Amino acid sequence: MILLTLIEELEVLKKEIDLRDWILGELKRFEAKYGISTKEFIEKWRAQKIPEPEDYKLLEEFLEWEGLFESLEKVDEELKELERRIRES
Amino acid sequence: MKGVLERVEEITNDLSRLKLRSLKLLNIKVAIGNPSSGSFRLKGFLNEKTFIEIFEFLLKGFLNEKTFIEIFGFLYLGEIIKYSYIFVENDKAILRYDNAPHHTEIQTFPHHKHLKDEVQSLENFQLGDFLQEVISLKKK
Repeated sequence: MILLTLIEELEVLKKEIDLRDWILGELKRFEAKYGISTKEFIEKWRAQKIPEPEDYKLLEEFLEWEGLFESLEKVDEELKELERRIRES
Repeated sequence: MKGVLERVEEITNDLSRLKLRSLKLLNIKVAIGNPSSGSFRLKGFLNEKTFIEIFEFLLKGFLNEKTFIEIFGFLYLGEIIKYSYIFVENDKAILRYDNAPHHTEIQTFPHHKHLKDEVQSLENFQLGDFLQEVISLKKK
């Protein structure tokens, strides 16, 4: 039973890692396109040093970038929780 | 948990209320191994006949494809975390709902809408609410 739970947890872990890799790849694409790191973009975007674009296509890009960043934070939280559960089992 | 494809289907059904002349899925990304995560972009052009019924004012605009609605949503595990819905008429943005982290002065921050040149609070930000407002605007 414990072994089965562990296998299931490892499958979830693999999915989370795949998702994390995908998000990182997408973030790199934005960083290369706009020539700044995600950290710098998020800081400036949220501090409104990068204004909300009039151009809706550019707005969509920035929202996607921010959405990817938030997703990465959520995945990292889930990975930490998963790690804790695996260590305990 | 809704997947990206299901969400696209759901929005397509919502947009069918407007009887579109054409609907373009410009972009879709689905995370590997996780169909509930990803992003998409839909662009709907209104049907000429429906336009007459609902969007009477827009007949000319629809003929040159400069009048349209564009829906953008970014999903994480089936939940929309970022969105932008825009109605453009003759290349001019008339109405936009979005949740960019700007306009902190707005009570409903980060949800807000741009109506012509004004930024206003936005309590109901579902796609259906947006479409209803587009319809109301065109009836005026």
